[in-house]
Amino acid sequence: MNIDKKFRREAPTETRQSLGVYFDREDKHLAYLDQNRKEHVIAEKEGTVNLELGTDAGSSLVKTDTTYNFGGVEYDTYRLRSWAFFNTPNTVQIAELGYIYISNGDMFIIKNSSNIEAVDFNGNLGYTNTPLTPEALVDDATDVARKISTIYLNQDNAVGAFPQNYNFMYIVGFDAAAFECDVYIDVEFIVEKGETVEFVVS
Amino acid sequence: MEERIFKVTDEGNTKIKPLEGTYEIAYKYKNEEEAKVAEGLINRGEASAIGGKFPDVDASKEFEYYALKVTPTGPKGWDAYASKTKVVMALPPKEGDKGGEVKLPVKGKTPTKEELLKGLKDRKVSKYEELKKKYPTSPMEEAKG
Repeated sequence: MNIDKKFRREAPTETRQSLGVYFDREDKHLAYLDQNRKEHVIAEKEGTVNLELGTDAGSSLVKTDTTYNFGGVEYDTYRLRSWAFFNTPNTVQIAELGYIYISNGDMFIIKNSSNIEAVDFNGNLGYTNTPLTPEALVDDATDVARKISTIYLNQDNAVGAFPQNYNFMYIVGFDAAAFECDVYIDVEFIVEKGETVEFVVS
Repeated sequence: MEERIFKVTDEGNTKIKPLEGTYEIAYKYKNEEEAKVAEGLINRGEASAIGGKFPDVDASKEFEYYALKVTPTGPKGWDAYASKTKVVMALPPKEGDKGGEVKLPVKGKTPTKEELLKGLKDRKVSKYEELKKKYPTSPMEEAKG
């Protein structure tokens, strides 16, 4: 029995207004039908994300289907993902991800779902996973997770003599004692609709 | 309270948000030399003044134009834009009106990919060195190697 198609048949009609969410196997997306039987896509099925390897990290930038309209100004949304592994303990850790060029205007990060993974084998056992915040858990040679002083995604568009259209992207972390951790960046940012966006992995 | 009187953009009409600098306002009356009537700071691409207003115009004279001069000073290590003077052949904006924008030209040519990647790496090194001064490796950790 094709469960997905069964759900689709039971999606809302003009007389039955309840929300019926279904997964379309052919187009690989999650959607529902409104009272006019118009399809609304809720989420695309995740495909393969190719993280291009750079000096300190592997990164990917894709344009999403989401657009925003704020007071009549429309924005496109892009999603940046990067993985960086700080495996050598140090009090300062910096990973260069690359630069993002915006043809006009600024980029604004509006969502941050980034994660920090640390080893806690000799603490509460296993691994810790905490959001990328100034109090994220990291580890060191003792294999006990502890809070870091600060770690964050750094968007720097005031570099040297380069115009502000070039956003240099780094992961920056520092603490009084040496630390190590794995960082998984997953953020979304907006630019004004129609502007050209280019990401060059470093 | 200081309020914005004009903003600073680049040639593409984008507000230069990180820009720090200074500004001067000059008025020109008929049969007189152009004279500076105000000066102040630019913070994050915005020039502001007490009350958010341009200096009053001397109504007893014939006003010709006002000139806004912007001189970028930073942020630290940043030197992407050249200074610029904008001359407006009109009376200055009244209190509450914004004085438009001054468009700064970008210095030099469009950077190459190689220049940008080098800039990215150089910036990483300078960030690391600055932070390492504040968060040095302890002698015990250094001994561990």
